[in-house]
Amino acid sequence: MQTYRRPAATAIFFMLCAVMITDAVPHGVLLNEFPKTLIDPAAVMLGVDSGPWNMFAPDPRVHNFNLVVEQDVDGEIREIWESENWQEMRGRDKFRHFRKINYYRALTVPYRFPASQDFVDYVARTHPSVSHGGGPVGLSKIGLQLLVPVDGGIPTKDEMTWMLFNETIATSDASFGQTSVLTPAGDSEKPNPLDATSGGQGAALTELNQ
Amino acid sequence: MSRLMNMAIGRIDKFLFHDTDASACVRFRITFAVLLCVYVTVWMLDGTYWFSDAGVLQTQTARAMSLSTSFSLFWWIPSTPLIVQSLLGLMLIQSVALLIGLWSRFQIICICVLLVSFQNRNPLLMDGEDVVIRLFAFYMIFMPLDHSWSLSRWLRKPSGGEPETSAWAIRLPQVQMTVIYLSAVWSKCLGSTWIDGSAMFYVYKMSDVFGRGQLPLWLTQSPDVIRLSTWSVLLVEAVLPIALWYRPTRTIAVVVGIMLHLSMEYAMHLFLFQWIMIVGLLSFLAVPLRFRSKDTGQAERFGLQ
Repeated sequence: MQTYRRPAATAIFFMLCAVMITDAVPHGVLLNEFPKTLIDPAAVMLGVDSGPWNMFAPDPRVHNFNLVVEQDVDGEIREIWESENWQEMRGRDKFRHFRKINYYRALTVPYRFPASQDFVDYVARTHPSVSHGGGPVGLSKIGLQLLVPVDGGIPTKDEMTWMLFNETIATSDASFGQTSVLTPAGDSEKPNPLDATSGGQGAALTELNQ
Repeated sequence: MSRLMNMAIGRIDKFLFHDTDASACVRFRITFAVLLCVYVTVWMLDGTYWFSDAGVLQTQTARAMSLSTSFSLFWWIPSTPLIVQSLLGLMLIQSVALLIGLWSRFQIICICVLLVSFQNRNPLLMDGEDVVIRLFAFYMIFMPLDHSWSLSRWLRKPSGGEPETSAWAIRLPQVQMTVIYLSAVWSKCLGSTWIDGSAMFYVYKMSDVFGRGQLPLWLTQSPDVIRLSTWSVLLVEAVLPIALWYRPTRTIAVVVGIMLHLSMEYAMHLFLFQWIMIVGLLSFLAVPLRFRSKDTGQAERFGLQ
C-alpha cells in the first residue's frame, strides 16, 4: 500500500472508533452528555451515529398494549381500527410485519407524538369506516403493564401486579384533518370527546392483581 | 520516548495492516448482502405505507423529529409512492450487485446513502439492528470487497498474482461488535433486574417480541432457572469482548456468541437482529488466517488459496 494511505487509514480507524465508543456510553453516565453533544451532529450527518446499546436495559419493561382508533359519531364511540394481536399472529406474518412492533411502540413515546398526529390523520383520511360527517377520530393506547416489585426479585403469581392503562394519544378532526395531541399527563390543545372512554381523563389507570 | 512511539506505531501497523485478511472482507460482503436483500425486500412490501407522504408519516414531521444535521434524500425530493418504490427497487438491485461483487465499492456507497435516507425518513421503524446494518454498510466502504468471489474481478481477468490489498477496515465491525457487547452489559448493570436475576422473567412476559418458539414451562417459570438464564446472558455479553480478541479463545467465543444469538432467534421475534450480529461475529474468525503470509503452503493446507 502506498505510504500516504496508511496514516490516512489509521486516522479514519481511530476517528470511527472514537465515535462508536462515545456513542455507546449509556445515557446519564457522562456529565451533560459531553462529548456526545460535540460528536453527534457530525456523526448523524455521516450516518455513523449509534446511541447506547440498551435492548432490555437497564430493565426490561413489560408494556403489552394495543393501539385503537375510535370515532365519536353522534355520541356513540365506534372502533375504526385496532393494531395487530401479536400473540395470535403466525411466525412468518410477524416477520413480515415486524416493523409495526417498533412503530407502534415509538408512537407512544412522548417526544414522538408529532408522528402519532400523522398516524391518526392517515387513518382518518384512508379508513373506509371513518364517518366524515362525524366527530373527531382519536388514537388510544390500551393495555397492561407489569410492575416490578418494590423489593425487586421474581414475583410469585400472587405478587404479580398488572396495571391496566387506557391513554388517549392524539385526535384528528375527520372533517378537516386537524389534529391535536394529548400530553402524557392528559392535557390537550382542545377538548377530546373520547375522554368518556377513559373516565373523563386522558389516561385511566386501574390496578389489577392476578 | 520516541522508541515507545515507534513501538506503538509498529503494533498499530501490525494490528491494522499485517494481521488482517482481505478474504474476511469478501465473506463479510457476501453474508451482509444476503441479509440486505431480505431487509430491503421486506421494506419494499410496505414502502408506500412507511416512507411516502401518502403513508403514515409526513416528510416534514420526520424532518422536524430529526437532528438538524441529519441527511436524507427525501429532504430534497418528494416522497411520492413512485419515487419511494423506485429507490427501494434500486437499493434491492444494488444489494444483489453487492452480493455478486459487481463494482462493490460503488454499490455500497449508494446503499449507504439510501439506507441513511430511508432510516431518517421514518425513524420510528428503526431499532438496534438497523443501526448495525447502517454502520456495517459504512465500514464496508473502506474494505477490499472485490478481492475475490467477485464478478468485477472475474471480468477484469487479472493476469498476475494476487494484488496487494489492505483489509484494515475489517477491524471496524470487530471493534463495533466489542463495543456493542460492552455497552449492553454496562447498560444492563445500571438496572436492578439484571443484577437480582429477574430480568428474563420480564422478557418472557413481553407479548409482542417473545414467544416465537415453544419453551418448556420450567425454563420460563422456575425462579432458579430464570436467575441462571439472566446471569448467563450478562456473563456471556461481558466475557465476549475479551474472549473474541484473545486468539486461543476466539473460536469458542464466536461459537458461544452464535449460540446466544440463535437461542434468542428461536425464542424471540427480532427480525434480522440476531443474523446481523452473527455476521459481525463471523468477521472475527478470519483474523488469524494470513493470506499474504510467507508460509503460503500452510494457507494452502487450510484450503485458503
